[in-house]
Amino acid sequence: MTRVKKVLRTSSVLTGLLLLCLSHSLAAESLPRCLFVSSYHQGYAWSDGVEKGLRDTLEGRCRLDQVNLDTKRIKDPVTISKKVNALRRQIDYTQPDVIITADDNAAKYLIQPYYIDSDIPFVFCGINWSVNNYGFPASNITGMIEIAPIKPLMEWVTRLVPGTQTASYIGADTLTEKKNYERYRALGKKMGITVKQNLVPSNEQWKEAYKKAQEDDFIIIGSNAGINDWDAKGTIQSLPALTSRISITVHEWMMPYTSLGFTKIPEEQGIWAGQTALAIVEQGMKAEDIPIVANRQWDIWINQSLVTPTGIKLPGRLQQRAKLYNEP
Amino acid sequence: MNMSRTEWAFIALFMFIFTILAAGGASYITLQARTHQFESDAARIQVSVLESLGSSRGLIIAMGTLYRANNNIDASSFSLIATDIKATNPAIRHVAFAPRLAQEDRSDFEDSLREEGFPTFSIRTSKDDVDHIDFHLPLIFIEPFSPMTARFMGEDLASRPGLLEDINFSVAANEPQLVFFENFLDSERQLGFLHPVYSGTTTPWSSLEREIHLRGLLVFTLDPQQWKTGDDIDSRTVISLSYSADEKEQQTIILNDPELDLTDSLLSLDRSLKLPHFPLSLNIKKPVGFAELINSPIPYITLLGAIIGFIIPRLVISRRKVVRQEQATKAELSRIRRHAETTLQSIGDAVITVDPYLVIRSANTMAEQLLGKGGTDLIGVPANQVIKLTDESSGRKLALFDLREHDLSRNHIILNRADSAHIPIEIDIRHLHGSHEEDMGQVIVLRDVSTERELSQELRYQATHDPLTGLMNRYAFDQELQASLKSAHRRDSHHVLCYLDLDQFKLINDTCGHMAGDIVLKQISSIIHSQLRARDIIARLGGDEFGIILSDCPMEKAREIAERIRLAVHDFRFPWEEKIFALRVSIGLVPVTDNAHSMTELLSAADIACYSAKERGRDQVYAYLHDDESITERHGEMQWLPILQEALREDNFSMALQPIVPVENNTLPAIYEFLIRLNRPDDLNTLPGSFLPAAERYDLMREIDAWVINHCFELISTYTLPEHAYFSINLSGQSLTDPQLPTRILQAQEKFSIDPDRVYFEITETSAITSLAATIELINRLRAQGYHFALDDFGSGFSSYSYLSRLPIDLLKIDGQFIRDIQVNKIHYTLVKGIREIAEVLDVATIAEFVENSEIVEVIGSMGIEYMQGYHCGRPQAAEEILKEISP
Repeated sequence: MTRVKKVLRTSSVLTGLLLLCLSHSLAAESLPRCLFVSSYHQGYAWSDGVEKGLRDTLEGRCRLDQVNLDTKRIKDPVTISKKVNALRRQIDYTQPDVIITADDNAAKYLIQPYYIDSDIPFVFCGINWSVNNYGFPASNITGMIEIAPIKPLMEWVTRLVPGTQTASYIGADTLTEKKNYERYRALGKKMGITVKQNLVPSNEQWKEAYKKAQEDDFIIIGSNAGINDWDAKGTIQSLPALTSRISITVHEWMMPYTSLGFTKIPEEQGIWAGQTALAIVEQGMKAEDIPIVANRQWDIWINQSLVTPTGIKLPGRLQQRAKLYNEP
Repeated sequence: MNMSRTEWAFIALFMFIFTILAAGGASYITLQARTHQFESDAARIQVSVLESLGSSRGLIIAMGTLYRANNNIDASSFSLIATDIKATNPAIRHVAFAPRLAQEDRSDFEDSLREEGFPTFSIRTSKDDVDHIDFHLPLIFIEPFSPMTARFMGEDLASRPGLLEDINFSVAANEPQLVFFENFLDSERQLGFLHPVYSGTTTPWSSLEREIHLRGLLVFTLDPQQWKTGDDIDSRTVISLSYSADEKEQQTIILNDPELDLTDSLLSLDRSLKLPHFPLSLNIKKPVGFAELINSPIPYITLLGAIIGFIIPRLVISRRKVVRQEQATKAELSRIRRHAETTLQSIGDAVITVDPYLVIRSANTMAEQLLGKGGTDLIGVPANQVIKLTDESSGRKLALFDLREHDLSRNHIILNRADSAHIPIEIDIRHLHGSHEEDMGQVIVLRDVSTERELSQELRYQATHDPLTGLMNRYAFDQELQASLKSAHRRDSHHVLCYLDLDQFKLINDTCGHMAGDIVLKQISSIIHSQLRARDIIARLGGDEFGIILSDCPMEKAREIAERIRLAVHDFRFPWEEKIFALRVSIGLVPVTDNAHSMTELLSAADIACYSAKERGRDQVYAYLHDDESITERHGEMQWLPILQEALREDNFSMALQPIVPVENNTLPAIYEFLIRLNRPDDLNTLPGSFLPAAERYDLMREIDAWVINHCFELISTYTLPEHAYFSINLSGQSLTDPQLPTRILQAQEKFSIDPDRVYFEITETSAITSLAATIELINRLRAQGYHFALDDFGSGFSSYSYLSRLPIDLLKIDGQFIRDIQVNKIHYTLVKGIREIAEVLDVATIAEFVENSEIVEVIGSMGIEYMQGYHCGRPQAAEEILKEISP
């Protein structure tokens, strides 16, 4: 091949690549701009699940920029403030068509102080239980609240254990667990069930509480976050022998110690936030016209090693839907 | 095949009709097929719709049953169940549930939902007087649950206009109710099923109980587009549904209308189908557009029709033309047959056909004539009975059908007729074969060649004989000479070739005309022939040339015969128009022996020998000998040609002057005659007698004369000459007939500023008479310019006073042969005296040549001859010397 032909061929390839890049760039420019603000960091399982649902939904329909506030690891309010201010400057500069936030801290540090009833629509997700603390609802804000499926879980267990009257709540002795217990207690009250509180500081005490809870109709397993001497293996090995009552939980990480679990699905949060953002930027809907909703899906887990000792036969449709927990 | 306009019009009409018929038929069939397909599609759509509706109805009943069996279907379970139902029947767009809620429970319910993560939840009713509402049916579960459908969470279905009646009807009928929704969920218009869900494990029996135990309402919305389930349903099919809850209500149409461009729709297929058990009628429409027809077989069938419409009439026309051509061919064949028969009858050959048994079946008129029998006498007769042949050369009888190839090819077959006539014929026999090579007999062609033979002999004679004299011609003579030469070589025989040339014949021919010449030639031929032996061969070789081969004849005998011929010619006199001409013949003899190499060499030698005879004074016989010096010279004469050509190129000629002086009267001016000389390398000037014959023989005289004229004029102009100095220049006979000569002279005159009065041109008597008319014209033209003319050598030729009187000359030179001995020869004296007297009458001065002594001077002086020329008066000298002498 002559030198001229080589030059021509190289020029053609380069021109083609240039045109391809240009067309991609133009296409991206023509898409609406979406800004995703994660309260946490990438690599955190919950946040990654939310992000995955969001990105799958917005793929090719929105130019998505992401900012991670990283508040799981950064607790210093000054640093967080600096990050938020930088984020605000970015918002002013880029003027996104919609801002999507995940989890409470984004609402706490960004939306509530600066953007309530602003012109920029916000779609939140992953805010726990209630938005009242952040000044929502507002005209420019909608989204999905993260609700632990304690009600369906309680309803299920009352169907599995007819005539239940008492239940024990076992968790770490922390403020969060106290709040969680309160939800169960209030719900139990509506359902005519007395929920007893057993918040403990140590693994041994946790086992003792579990053993004692066998006296109630069922056991509610709260989070062990806060029990510093937690012996996972020993606990797992000891529980079947101690178990005669069914136990339930909404924490996926507590399934090794629980018979039945209903756990939230982070992708549902991300998908809803994405759908809502698209309804705003594509269909022109206003945020206030889209109701704030709660998550409605959850995963069902069954730990057969802790179901069998109870003598309860789980319904087929429950088993069909459930994911079986297997000991590692 | 060429077609007329009418035929093209016929084809076009057929094509048009067939095209229309094909297009119409194809359109009809296509439309029938489309209609059938449409009916089939419509039926399938109807079935599909009914199936889908039935399926939806069955599923909503099943889901109602599920609800009865399970009091605690939460959102997650509902989502799973709804997803399964939608997967079972894709025509179900939404699945929703609205629990029945007593008015007094409304606030608690709303609070409960708000606590469960729906902070803005509220039950929305369409009616203002909420207080009169007994219960609510707020939507709480909607699947698919999306931002769009989530807006309808809390909508009270019981307050929707008209929907409560449908619900009540459904409760009363205990049947799912098909309803029409406007602005519901994510669609402005859609159908759906309502199905009440009751408390308890069994459906209450009575309508009242069902009202009391109503627990909630299941809602399915439907997607009619999914009813066209079959992939093979035409995508252009337009489906619409007419919904009518009762007869009075305005029908609401739900369109399932694909985006179609109906502008090209040629026609539309419509069906309206009532759907049993449902307040629906299904309207199905399918446009049939032009593009669809184009894509159908119609164009191809139409094209096929056009092609058939073209081919059929074309075939018909072709067939008719073929029939016509066959008829024409038959007529033509008939005509050709008649023509052939006529031709056969009229041709000059006898044509006879015989059958395989050699019996005559036909014979033309010529055959009847040739065989000397009538047609009826020939037909049916065996051919060999009437065609009897003999070999002319051997006299052997020949059997007709046994003739071999070599028999047929020769020309010596004689037909022996019954009347004893013997006719030379040529015969040709051809076998006739049928299309399968079967023997059909023979055709015998007999041709009477009597006339041809006579003509052939005549032609042969003409080809070898001179038509004028009847002697052999040159061609035949050459053949004979060649044969004689061969014979000399083979048998050492001796023959003699004679070459004869008539002297003075040209003069007779030119002066008396060709007719006289022809008569002379005939008579001379006869005279010569009479002198020959029987075995000798004589031929006329050219105009006045004859050749004779004296076979087996020694040279002495040949001389004798030649001498006899010469004498016979010498004695011959030819009278013509009161004149009597004498002829002479010069004869050259050449022996034809084995020494002769070729015929050309022989003829050349004979020609030279003849020329030598002429040179020796004509009327001579000259025999060629191998060591003959004369012949050698003659051969040498031929060498003059390149010398003369070179002399002309290189100016190797020179001029001499000889004076012509007055005899007594010294008052006359002298005239100087220019005489040409050839300069040779040995410094010896060659006299003209040596080379002029060769120049004449090789036709160089015109060029030599031109050189002489130019050179003489140049010499005259070079010197200052006295007033009365005159010069004469000789012109050859060849120049006299040269039409360019006057122009050439006048150009030279102009070039050298010559006074024409000083110049005399001398022409010989013979050459002047030979070209008399041209000579007279030349003399007149140049005399008009001032030139003078002298007639040279008068008396040596014809000495015709008649001609002399016609030539406008100024001087007459009397031939020297009469002057040389005039003092002793009385005849010459008398002749010269007569010439002088005639010249005086014609007022022409005379010149006596060859004046070599004073005695001659005296004689000619007494006669009154004006000028004389000869050695006595002055020898020729170089022209420059004379000119220098006479220059003052």
